[in-house]
Amino acid sequence: MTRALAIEKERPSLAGTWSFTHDPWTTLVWGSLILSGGLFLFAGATLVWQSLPIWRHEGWGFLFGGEWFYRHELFGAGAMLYGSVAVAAIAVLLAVPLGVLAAVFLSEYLPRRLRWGMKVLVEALASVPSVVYGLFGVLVLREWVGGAVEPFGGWTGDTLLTAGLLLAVMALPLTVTLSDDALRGVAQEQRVAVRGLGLTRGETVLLVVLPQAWPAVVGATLLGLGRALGETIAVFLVVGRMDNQLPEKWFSLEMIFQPGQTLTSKLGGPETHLAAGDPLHWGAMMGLCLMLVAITVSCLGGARYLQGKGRGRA
Amino acid sequence: MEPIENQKSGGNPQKTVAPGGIENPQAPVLALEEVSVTAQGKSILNRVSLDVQPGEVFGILGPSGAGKSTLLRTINRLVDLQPDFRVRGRILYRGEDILHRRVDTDALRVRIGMVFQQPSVFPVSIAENVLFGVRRVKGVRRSERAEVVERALREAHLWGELKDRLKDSAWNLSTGQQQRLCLARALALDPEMLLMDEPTSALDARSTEAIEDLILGMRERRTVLLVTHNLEQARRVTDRIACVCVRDGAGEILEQGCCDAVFGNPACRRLFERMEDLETWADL
Repeated sequence: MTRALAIEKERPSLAGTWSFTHDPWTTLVWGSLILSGGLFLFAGATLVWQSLPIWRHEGWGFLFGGEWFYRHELFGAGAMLYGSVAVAAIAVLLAVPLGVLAAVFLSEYLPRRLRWGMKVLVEALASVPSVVYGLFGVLVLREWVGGAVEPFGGWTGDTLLTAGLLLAVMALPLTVTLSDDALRGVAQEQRVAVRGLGLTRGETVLLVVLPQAWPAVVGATLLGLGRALGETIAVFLVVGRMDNQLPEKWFSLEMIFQPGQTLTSKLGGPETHLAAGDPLHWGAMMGLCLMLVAITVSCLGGARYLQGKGRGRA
Repeated sequence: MEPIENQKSGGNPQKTVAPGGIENPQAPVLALEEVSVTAQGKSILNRVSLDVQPGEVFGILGPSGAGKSTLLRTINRLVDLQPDFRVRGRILYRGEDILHRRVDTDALRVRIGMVFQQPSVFPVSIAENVLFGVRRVKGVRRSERAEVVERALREAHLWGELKDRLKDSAWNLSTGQQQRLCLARALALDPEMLLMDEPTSALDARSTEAIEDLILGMRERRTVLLVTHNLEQARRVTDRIACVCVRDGAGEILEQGCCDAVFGNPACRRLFERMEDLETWADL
């Protein structure tokens, strides 16, 4: 009995040996996770805290209010929300059909070697800095849109439409390459099985490849939408930056052909500096920030969810 | 039978003529003449010639890597989908050279169906899977759909198991059922010839037996080309077989004929023994 107890004592304990110094690698990865998560939470909390004055002042009316006159302490983000949504919608409506069709061509029709070259080219386009696209917009699109909107009562090329078109051009490479990845994710055996039944290449794409890749393609679209909503400098250069351009009816298109303001162009403009001294004005700017982050983060979350779903099915 | 070639070409199928110049009454339905396949310059099949008689089950036996699957995919031109594959020689199907560039390959694949090693069902219902090809290729009226589904599933020995689950997703079936569903999908098109690429290699004993029964049941009505590495299976279901071996990295025909002749050939026997040894080792 005593002998057994003695052996028991000699045996090292298995429990409770973990400490910060015992396993530095685990400490490092946990620390990094906590730090990055903490930074995100800190940024979010700061936005909420800094924007508190405007929520107290305007309430929920801040989100959709149509008037922004900071000298009169009137703050409504409606026109900017409208601008952001309109610009992003134009971009998505143009870029997605074109991008998906281009991706189908890339993935299903182009010979392998050419496909690789095209893919590199498209990804190079996706990496061009946005200010370059913005200057391209100033140089080419503004002129072109200026002439086109005249019959609709427009008087300048700096319009929401110009910004939307520019964003479509910018979103196209990403849409093409992500959709192409989604299409390539569909198992090759499925294509061979369809062709083995005597169906054509077009039928294979329409009946098997696109339906299976669809969640991932929509995910790619949402990712592009999130980017479009958050894009600042290119939009800033061509959108006209005119406040309070809210249409009388929500779905009327008249304001598309007019200069407008988006959440990002407002935040990227000089008013942010002006607001710094005034808690209410600053709070309004932070409120715009918070709206922007909420919208883009939900787009990203939706995209990740759908892309994961697409992978699960394929 | 209408010619497979496009209307424009005005295809005039030539008659197969026996060496003596007399029209052969037992003309082979499929004749490969010196067919060679290369991929990226590397030889896969070397001067393969074989004759398949109408209504028979023709087995192709050989070790893995001998190009057996490529051989099947050459017959229904699925190799066209693989980049950098080159096919030389002639493949006469009912007297027409199907390697001709004006052959409508989609129409060809309707007449020569195929079942693959791994079943790939589509993510739709069981009934939709059966109808997948036939409703687009031949056009099935809404009123005829149930009948087409039943006939194909009956022929694939699946009707009893699945008749109450036709609207369920085909992805929930077992592998054996999926493979028979793929077979039903091919049979729904009523092909004259069926290419089967090791259809039972991924299946359990019960599903294997079901598929072998099915092959025996199709005899006389359809011509079947069966690739297998299972010697017992070849003995059980085939009328004639070709033994493929690998020489200098490319598949070649070592011997073809009735089962006894091929199994009796000493060179083939050595090859089969090696294959069986390998399989035994794989099982251990």
